[in-house]
Amino acid sequence: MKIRLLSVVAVAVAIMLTTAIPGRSVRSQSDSFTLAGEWIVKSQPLNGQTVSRRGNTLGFPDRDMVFAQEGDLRTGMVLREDIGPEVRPLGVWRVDGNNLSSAFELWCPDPSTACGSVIMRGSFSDQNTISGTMAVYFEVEDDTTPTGLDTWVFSFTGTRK
Amino acid sequence: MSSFCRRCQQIMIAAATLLVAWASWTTPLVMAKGLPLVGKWEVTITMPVSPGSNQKNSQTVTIDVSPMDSGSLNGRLTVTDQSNRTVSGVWREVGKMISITFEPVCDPSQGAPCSTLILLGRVKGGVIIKGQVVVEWDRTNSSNPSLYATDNGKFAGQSLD
Repeated sequence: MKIRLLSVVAVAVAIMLTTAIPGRSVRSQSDSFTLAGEWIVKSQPLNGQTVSRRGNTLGFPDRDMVFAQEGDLRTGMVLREDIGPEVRPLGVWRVDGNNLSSAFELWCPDPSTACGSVIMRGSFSDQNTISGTMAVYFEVEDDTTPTGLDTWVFSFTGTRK
Repeated sequence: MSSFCRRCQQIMIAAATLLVAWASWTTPLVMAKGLPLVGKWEVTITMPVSPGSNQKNSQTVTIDVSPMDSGSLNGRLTVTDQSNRTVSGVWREVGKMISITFEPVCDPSQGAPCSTLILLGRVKGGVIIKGQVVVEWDRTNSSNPSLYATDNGKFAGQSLD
């Protein structure tokens, strides 16, 4: 009887220790997060900023984003079928722990309008939910920003499709 | 007089034939090359070693730029560093202006946060590229318009083709 009780206590302590080690917990979490797959990403203004200081904007469409991984090569694509079936801006991504980063080139058919690049920064709430901000660096000079480029930020939330 | 004109006509026809032959010989070569950025480049990127640092580091990478898919305004590329680590990138080109975006391999042992790079510049003479590097670090900075720490650097490269 005593031996059985001791065994149960030992198993319980072992389980508690295993789950309480922070490093192990973080490791298993970081291994589980990936952007690979299809996401619906919704965006909204941050602090009421619907355009950049220089008046540039991407608007706030829902974005259907597809991410893939092949070895160390991590690629992304935005399916902008609301504009045209062939409109597919390309990007790349990485995940570190529960943090994510992704970068895209804008799709600029009209040379007279401002073009630029987008960098997403955010985190996973769980395997199917992400949120964060996107910074758009327009190729328009703005000497008030550290990069010298017109910069516009908005927030996003994404759910796995 | 009429024989002189006939002779002129023959010379003009011969010249036109030669011109057409020359054009048909050279045009496919030019078209095959496509946009000037397509191909392999050896590029040196100089940027701060960490956010806001005055100390700069230069790293040479090989960028292999693939042609854009038909109808696309963005293309893919790979970036291979001196440790032979390869990541994906994306690019676009409008006129002589180019933009390349990628997520460099993150090396926590170097003591700097991970970053995303945007290379903005020009193709010169089809064999040289150079321009500005925008670095967005994985470090929040509420006073920066992008909400993350940013830095500027520079890049220069030459064609390996």
